[in-house]
Amino acid sequence: MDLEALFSQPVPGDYFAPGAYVQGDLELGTLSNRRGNRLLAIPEYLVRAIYGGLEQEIGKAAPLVLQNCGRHWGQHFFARLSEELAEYYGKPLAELTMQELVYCLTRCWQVHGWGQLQFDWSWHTAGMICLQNQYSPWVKPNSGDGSPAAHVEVGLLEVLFQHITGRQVQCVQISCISLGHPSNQFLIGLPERLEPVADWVKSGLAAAAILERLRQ
Amino acid sequence: MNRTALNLLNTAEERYLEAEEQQQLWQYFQGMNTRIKVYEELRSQEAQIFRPVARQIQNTADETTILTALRAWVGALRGAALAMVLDDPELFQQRVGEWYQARPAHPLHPKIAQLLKAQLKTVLGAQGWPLFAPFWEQMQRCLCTAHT
Repeated sequence: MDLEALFSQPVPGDYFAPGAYVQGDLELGTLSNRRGNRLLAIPEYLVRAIYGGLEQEIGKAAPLVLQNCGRHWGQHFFARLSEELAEYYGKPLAELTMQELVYCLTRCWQVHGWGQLQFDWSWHTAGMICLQNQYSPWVKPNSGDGSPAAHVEVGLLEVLFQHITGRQVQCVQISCISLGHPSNQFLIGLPERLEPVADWVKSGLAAAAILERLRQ
Repeated sequence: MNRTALNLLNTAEERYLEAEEQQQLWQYFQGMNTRIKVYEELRSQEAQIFRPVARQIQNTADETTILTALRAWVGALRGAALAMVLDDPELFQQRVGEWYQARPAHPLHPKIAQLLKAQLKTVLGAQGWPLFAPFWEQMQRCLCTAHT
């Protein structure tokens, strides 16, 4: 048994461990991650200001534009995530176990201040993954006009899971903190499976009722 | 650095420490001397600690399975050793503990835990082991608790 290799190599742990992942350089006035990639602390008011500005300038097209922003972000996010994790763990992202990948994603959300991400795999029989994000910074609590509004998150998660699953999955938001719900909740699955879900959301059906229908 | 020491240092930014606070800080840094010696034992004796453990489980599974299980203990022990130097259980939990807790418990872990504990007690001796013991308990809980 080659124990020497075990002792001579680093044993990687939690890439996104708080305290180790975010580093600051006071002299330069910059924040970066442990690989040296720059990070920004964006104030909540800037997010609101961007939404407000978009709403004013392009009105009803704002949700679509925000979702597209999320998709573009998702492309870059996945590229960077897979590069960083592959370098740190010494193996491609595809070789991480599901537990490791889910843990990394959850921690990534936590450490960047994007909220508390939770995965619910019990919908796999319906061909879907259910994701919840508590404390999402992308929507203002109790500010909604009747429909879910985490458009950036929808775009981001959609592209992220397209890369992870290698399928053209879609993401539909079924509950939103802007509507007074406790978390943003998303269903991710193939478009044909999600088609009725999108219609149910449009008709104002509550998340619990949507999930109940999917169980039947 | 543990929370008490960090709070003391933060307090010292605003005013001089009271005699009792100063004493607490002094004890923390004095204790670090001994803790670094225990760390050095763990660092320099890593192979001697793990080899007998590996020998005793070599027939219980295939080599890859054994190496995977041992690798987790090597990683956790390194993390626990650093947390011991800083006397900071939270550091272990945040940097290492949660990572291992999120993974499924390995069937070899209970046996490795039993053998490794005996080895650590022998290597660290009656002086070193009590300093490391709380961190051992913490790492053992993380690795041996069944995960869902």
